[in-house]
Amino acid sequence: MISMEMENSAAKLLFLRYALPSTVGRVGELGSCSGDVITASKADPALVDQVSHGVLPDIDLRSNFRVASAWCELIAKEMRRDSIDKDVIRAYFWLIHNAVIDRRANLGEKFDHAACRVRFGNIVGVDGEKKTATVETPDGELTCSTSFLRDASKGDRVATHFDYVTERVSPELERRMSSLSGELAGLYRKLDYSPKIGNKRMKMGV
Amino acid sequence: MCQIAVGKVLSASNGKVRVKYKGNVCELNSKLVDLKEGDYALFSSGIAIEKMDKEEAEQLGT
Repeated sequence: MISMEMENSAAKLLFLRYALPSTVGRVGELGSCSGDVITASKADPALVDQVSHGVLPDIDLRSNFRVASAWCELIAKEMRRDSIDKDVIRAYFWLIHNAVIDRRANLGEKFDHAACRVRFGNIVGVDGEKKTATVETPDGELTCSTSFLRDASKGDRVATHFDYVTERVSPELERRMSSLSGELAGLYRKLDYSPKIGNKRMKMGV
Repeated sequence: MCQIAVGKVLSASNGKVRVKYKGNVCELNSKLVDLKEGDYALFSSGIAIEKMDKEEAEQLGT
């Protein structure tokens, strides 16, 4: 049973920036990573708008994002955290979530594997009118909404999920996550995962 | 978002459980969650990630 809380509003908003793009309409309904081959997010625009303005929607994250919440709690315990903080949330979406997505693809499940993964890239152009950015990733150029990063600029390194830029990724943040991923070694061992962070496969020593 | 899958544990041993899910029996990795026969669990991509009580499992649709 899930018992751990998210650390604060900032952590909840970060969680939503990653989680909302994979929902279809109202949260809690069938998600885009649930077997439907959907290549573009159909997240509720009202919720996206709230989150993009830093307003926490009046929805229960635990019941609406049950799987992600359960994973975050497992990760928080593995990392010996008292609550689900931003490190835990990124560890889930950047590492474990991607590993689970890869696992499903390897099992032969049909879904948009690339879009479901959190991908990293550099912004090569911004369309202020459409509120989109062109993001160059190893999978090619993506057109992503900048709703969650309203000051997105050419040259920014960013994380994306489906067709949304989720956040700016500084070299310091990437280094921090690389170092923190060692705290997940026990979890990986149990899952037999070989994690990737950013676009580089990491050496975990496990 | 990942689809919710909840099942009842039929047997457990060596970090694996056999779970009844939608009329089928699946073998899952249970190294992350301590499960025994009769428990209910939420699983994701073949991995048990949360133990839950019967009432909650039924609400989520075992």
